[in-house]
Amino acid sequence: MQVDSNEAQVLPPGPTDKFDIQVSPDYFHRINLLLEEFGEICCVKGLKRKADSFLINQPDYIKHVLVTNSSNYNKGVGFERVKLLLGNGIIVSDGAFWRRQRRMIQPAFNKSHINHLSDNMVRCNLALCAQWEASANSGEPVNLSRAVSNLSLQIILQSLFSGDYVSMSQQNGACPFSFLVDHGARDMQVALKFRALSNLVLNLIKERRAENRFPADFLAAFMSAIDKDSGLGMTDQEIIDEVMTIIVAGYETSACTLNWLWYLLSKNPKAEALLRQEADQQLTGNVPDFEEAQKLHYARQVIEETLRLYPPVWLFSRKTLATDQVGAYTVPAGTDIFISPYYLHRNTKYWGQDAALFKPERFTQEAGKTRHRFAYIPFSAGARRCIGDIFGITEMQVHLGLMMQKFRLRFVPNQVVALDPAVNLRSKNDFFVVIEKR
Amino acid sequence: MSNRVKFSTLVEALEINRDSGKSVTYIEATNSDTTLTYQQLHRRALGLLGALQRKGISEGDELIIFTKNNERFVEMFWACLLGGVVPVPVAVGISDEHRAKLFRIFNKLKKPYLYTDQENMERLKAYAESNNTPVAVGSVTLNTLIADTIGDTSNPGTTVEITPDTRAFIQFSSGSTSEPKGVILSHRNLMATIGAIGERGRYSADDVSLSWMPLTHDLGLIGFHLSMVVYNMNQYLMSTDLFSRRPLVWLKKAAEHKVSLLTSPNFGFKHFLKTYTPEKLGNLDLSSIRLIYNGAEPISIDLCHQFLDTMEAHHLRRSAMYTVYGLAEACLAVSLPEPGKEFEYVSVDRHAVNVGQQVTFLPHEHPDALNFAIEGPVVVDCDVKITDFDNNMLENNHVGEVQIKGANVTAGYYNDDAANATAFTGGGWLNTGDLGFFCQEQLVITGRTKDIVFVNGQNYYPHDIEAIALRCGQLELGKVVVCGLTQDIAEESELLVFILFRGALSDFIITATDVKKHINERMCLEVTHVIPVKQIPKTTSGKIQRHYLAEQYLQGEYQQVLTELAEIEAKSLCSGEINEIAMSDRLTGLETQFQTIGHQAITGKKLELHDNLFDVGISSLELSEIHQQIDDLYPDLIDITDIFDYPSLAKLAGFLKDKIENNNDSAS
Repeated sequence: MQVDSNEAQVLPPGPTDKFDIQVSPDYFHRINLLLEEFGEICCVKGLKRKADSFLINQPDYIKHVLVTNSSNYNKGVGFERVKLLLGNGIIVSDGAFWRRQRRMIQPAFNKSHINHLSDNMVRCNLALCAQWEASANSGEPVNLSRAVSNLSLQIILQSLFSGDYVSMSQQNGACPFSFLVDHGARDMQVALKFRALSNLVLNLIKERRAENRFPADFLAAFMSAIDKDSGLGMTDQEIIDEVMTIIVAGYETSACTLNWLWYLLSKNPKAEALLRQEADQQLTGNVPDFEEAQKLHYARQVIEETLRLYPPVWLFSRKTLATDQVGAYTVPAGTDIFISPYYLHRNTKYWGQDAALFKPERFTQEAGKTRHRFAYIPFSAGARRCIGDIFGITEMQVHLGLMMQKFRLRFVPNQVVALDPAVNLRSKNDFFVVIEKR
Repeated sequence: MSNRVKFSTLVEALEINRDSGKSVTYIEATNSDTTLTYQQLHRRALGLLGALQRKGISEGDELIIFTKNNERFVEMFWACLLGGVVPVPVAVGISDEHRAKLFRIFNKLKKPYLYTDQENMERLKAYAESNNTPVAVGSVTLNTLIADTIGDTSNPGTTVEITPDTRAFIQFSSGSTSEPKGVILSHRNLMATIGAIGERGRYSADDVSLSWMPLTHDLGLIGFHLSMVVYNMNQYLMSTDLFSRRPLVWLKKAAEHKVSLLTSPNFGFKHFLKTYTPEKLGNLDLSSIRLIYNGAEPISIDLCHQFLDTMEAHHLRRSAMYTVYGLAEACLAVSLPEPGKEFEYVSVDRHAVNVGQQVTFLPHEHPDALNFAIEGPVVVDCDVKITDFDNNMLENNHVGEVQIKGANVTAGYYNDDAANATAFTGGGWLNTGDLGFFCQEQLVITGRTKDIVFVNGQNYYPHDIEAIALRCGQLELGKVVVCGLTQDIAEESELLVFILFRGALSDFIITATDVKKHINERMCLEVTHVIPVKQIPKTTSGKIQRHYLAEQYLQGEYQQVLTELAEIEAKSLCSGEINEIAMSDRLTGLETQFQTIGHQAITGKKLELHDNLFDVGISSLELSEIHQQIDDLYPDLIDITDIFDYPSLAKLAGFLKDKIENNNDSAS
């Protein structure tokens, strides 16, 4: 969109201090102060960065950037770091290449395919059940954060590699990806290790191709995807990049959410009781499959409310291609746009005075109708909305349905609860629980 | 009408004024005011006293008040006064430095109790555990009252008899990083100072006050809370955090409540003006304001003018700017101008302000003119003398040490013989550590003895040199700190200029050279070093801690950065500007450039050209910053994932050089 040069450019208000917003803990509090002071939109002058940053916190503006005029916005600051880990997978890529990849990958995330994959979710949860039963017998506290991290990782790896994951682990003596759970730091050493794993994936791709073997998993889906326009498949490197993307995007986000979800339940016994009641009534002692998990409506509400209060992706960015207009303001080309689901989700203007409270009833179908659609963006929105939203929610519904029927989790008292707003919104300390059988 | 007070203790003042219907309003956020009448304050304080007494706290015990919450602070403070418990306000702050100070104070007191909030307690515990403090956490915890869970306050406590000589509270100095000094203040001291302020300021019950100064500071607590209770005014206490976040709220509230008395130290005016635009205040009417106390740190004449000029649009009277002098040892006030006239200042020759020397007055606009605010005549019941370093009285217009004596002056520092021996010079005189002179019966404060920069046999004041440095542009007030480093008063100082700077060292060279040159040309002073710092250390009330920087310098903290600066300077002298490196030497050029970028992106570590980026422990954030900088200069040539194949700055530079040359080849 071209702005008439005669028209005066109006930039949003902003602080006089210059600084460069980053997806890092240092800016978590600072963003809050900016939003408190300037409200819906503000402009922060760059310090080292040449471009200015706009922080936007208003559903219509967000809709404009993510949906209405999304073709004018690329992935922005911070995604370079992600690229270190993921190469040019669908989180990072832009433009025509991204569109092609997304189109090829999309079928793997459709409901029918996830239905096939839900067996993996059940299997991994049953393995966790066995561990928790042992813990319940011993009475020893369990590191909940580690447990749900490990669960999420297992689910994603099995969904990617099916049985090959087991042989991959056997060859290596242990799960080659487990360092993701063991080491909280997301840093250069991790990037290096992670990148080294792409050889494992490459070997597997070659092996399957040689054996002409295509089990029902993500990897097979990627390997057999064909671009309709060109009739070509993905190159090996492209497959690897997407596999790595699925691992990182699918694992830590779910792990964070489950961790916070259990914490919230510990604070809200009423919600927990309702959840348990629903699981008992709907599942009647059974292990939930995909269909049955869908029936757990209250569980879904609890998950959505958790994602509202603790969206794993608490801050993300876009980069403006051509000069644009958002509301009354000019957005110069090259501007970095920052959107914080965390603060948007806690804005009392859209969520009421009790925005900070955990209330799953916000997500009944009825309540949803009156809300601004773009006041809730845990999965982002528009064309670049998270591809794994259904996968993630289903995974958590299965987990809750199963665990609610079997266990009670008691939080060990006096734990420090603090946010660690890194790339994903983790808890600063691991949570510990004592597990009781029902 | 006399403005003298008729009470002999603070407790008497509250007890008599509590029925007046006057109140204190706490402003914690833009839209959250809580108003409590003095009656309610009195009742709540009695209830709190009951809770204290049930915990076994009694008359004469000491209680540290450690909370940022003004409401909690005020109520506990009065609970203590009513029961003869001695409150010890300590600033909460945000850094470990403040927590360390609390523990030092804790150690110094007899067997103090601590009153704080849950949140602060957690922080204190965490700090104590990780820092091996001299006080066991256990003993702090044992004697701690947590505001959030104070328990039953419905049964009022029993008041005790309070006389003028009862110890009212202990004010610990807000400044030093060293051993904190506690000023003991009696009710007599406080009533004397409050009476003197009220008389000079022509206080009446119709006045209304508003302050965002922390209550742990004498100007906040005595000047803008206790005085108001005594003079039976409505008062507004705004949280300091709110002011720092939203400075405009300060004057918006002042207009809304038709406030007549305000206060702000120098930096507050600056902070306010930074966010101010005419539209933001609209047609706000500030004509109700009589006095804005400007004290607690050196006063910038230019800033006073700027503030008054700007606020003229909002009908602020020019006579409102009230330049005052005082210190905790005098409860608060030493000298205050006659109200109702525009503030005054004198200009003296900056090359003739040595202690013992007569000042030379110059026209305001003279290039050698150093401007000082006139802080008015000494208040009633207080005496001031100006002396040389040998304690000899000096005449008018001679700069010397400011000594004070009187009913408002403390009887001594708490449990600190050494400090008492240094401060009291005999005959009841206390040396303030400040320098100044008398000019037509009015006091002019020029600086602090310990801050004097002694060069070429002359005394200079750091804030004067700072003001000169600011004039070379780009630099901002409060972001430049000048220190003279002298082992002995008779020895030449090293002159250090610290500048808040977070960019690339190569960019700093230009600033450093400019500042040196400017100070040299304007003041004939040779600057020893211009040092970039990431932070300017300040006290809770916003005073710059010059000596902290000087100490760091002495401990070699800046050795590395100075060496690096020297290297870069040497390099750029040889090769000209970094950006204009000859193409024939492209690789070296790129390497230098990359190294500069590396320095800029990484704090606290030195990145060598051949360091493996994955081994040196830099974060992906820093790495992406490096990549971003390179990409700004050489767009779309290096992908961030290339770093896996070229994992050092040298290798990346080589890779980039090949790319550039290939591009040139294919273009030609």
